[in-house]
This record gives sequence, C-alpha cells and structure tokens, in this order.
Amino acid sequence: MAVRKKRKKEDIFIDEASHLSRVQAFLKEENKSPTETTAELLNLTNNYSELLDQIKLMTRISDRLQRKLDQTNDKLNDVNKEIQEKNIQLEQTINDLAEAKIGRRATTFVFIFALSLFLVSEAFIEPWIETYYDNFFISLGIKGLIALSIKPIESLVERTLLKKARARTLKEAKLSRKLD
Amino acid sequence: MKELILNGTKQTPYVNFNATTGKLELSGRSIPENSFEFYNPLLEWLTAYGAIALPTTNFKVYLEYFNTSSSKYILEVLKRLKEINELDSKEVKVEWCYDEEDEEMMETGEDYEDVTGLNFTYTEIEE
Repeated sequence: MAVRKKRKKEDIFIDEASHLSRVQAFLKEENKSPTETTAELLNLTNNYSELLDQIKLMTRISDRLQRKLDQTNDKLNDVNKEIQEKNIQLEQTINDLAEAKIGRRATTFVFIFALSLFLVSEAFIEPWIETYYDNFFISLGIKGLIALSIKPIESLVERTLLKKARARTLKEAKLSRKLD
Repeated sequence: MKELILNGTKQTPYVNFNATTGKLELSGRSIPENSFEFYNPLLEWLTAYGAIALPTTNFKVYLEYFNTSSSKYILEVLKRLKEINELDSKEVKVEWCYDEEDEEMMETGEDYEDVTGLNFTYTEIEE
C-alpha cells in the first residue's frame, strides 16, 4: 500500500504570526507602563492596518483570478463539446468509408460468384435440363432463381465483411490502449 | 553586490535583479509550491540593495499568472521597493506589463499601485 507523504503546509503569514505572538506576550506582562502600552498599541495598529491592506488586495486579486479561471473553464468546456461532436462526425465518416470499401469488395465478390454461376449453368445445368426436361420455362426458372439469389448473397457477404472489419478495429483499439 | 538571477520554470518566474544597473525584472508564471522559499531570497536581496541603491531603480513586472500566496509576496517585494523610494534622492519606477487581452492583469497592477503608492507605468504587450 502506497503511503502518501503529508505535504508540508506553507505559512505565508510568518511575520504577522510573530507580531501577534509578541503582542500576546506583552499582554501577559505585569506592570506595563502607559508609554509601553501606547507603543505596543501603535505597533499593533500598524500591523493590523498593513494586514487589512493585504487582505483587501489579495481578495480582489483572488476574485479576479477565479473569474479568469471560470472563463477559461467555460472556454475549455465549449472546445471539449466541439471536439466530441467532431469525433462523432469523424467516427461516422470512417464507418461510411469502411462500409463503402466493404460494399465494393462485396460487389466484386458477388460479380465473380455470379460469373462462376453463369459458367456453371451454361456448362453443366443447361445441358442437364436439356437432356432430362427439355423445357424452356424450367431453364428460365432456374436461371431466374440464380439471378434472384445474387442480391441476398451480396448483402450476406457485406454483413460478414463488416462484422470482421469491426472486430478488427476493436482489437486494434484494445491493443493500442494496452500499449498506451 | 551579486546579481540575483533565477531561471523561470513552469511554476516559478524568471528573476533578474541587477544592482549595478538598477534594473530588476520579474516575469512568467508564479505558482511555486512554497512561496516563502521562493520569494524570501528576493526580499533579502532587496533589503541588502536598499543600502546601496542607485538613484533610479527600474522594476519590470511581466507576469502571466500568479497564485494568491505569490500575490502577498509580490506586495512584500513592492513594499521593500517603496522603502527604497522613500529614501533621499532615490526613485523606484515600476513598469507593469500585461498581455494585450489580459485586462485583469492590468487591474491587478492598479491595485498594487493603490496599496503601495509607487509610481507605475503600464505596458500592453502584443501577443
């Protein structure tokens, strides 16, 4: 368990405290002469007056500093909000870009898949239908089914690629947090 | 008398007190952990300087920010200078510099002028 070292308290009123101690000691003295009492009172009044000047000045300065800090804090909050908004926008843009990139990849994949299906259909399915059924509508139906299945396949591929991309981004973010 | 030079840090101001030229400078930020420890050597130097002060002493203050305890010690510094100013044929001029947009710092200078009664001139520094 870490033991926190107690910070030495700073006393900026050393002189004033010493003046006070002197007057307190004087008050305890017996047989004080009127001259001594007047001198001490004068001394005390001077110190009090000086202290009053200090307090007035320090209060004014502190109030001004506090106002300045408040204003700076407000400015920082505004900047922070703006940064958060920009971050959301940036995240959205990155997502859009990733989706567009993945969309393109999915389209390419589906295009290759459709081309392969077309070749398979022309090379194997078409001759098989002609041999066994010899029916134009069955051939058209099968080709139609193949064509209709392309869009759902594209969506499926896109979703899978997006999921993979998000998982990769999350992994990278976790790794970078660990490294920080 | 040896000059007093302290390099400025993030928490303490730059100090250059030169008894030969009578030019004293205090600038930067003043938020020391212990203001007494920082300002006491300055006050001691000024007390010693009082005995050999030049006819004119110029004190330039250009503070960006200072905390409350520093404000007390800056007042102490100015009071020492006031004591020098009250000596025969000695004059202390204070040049209070502040950043263009820092009206508060100028007002603080005016407060110090009111309390000490020293002669202040104000210089606005363009950022």
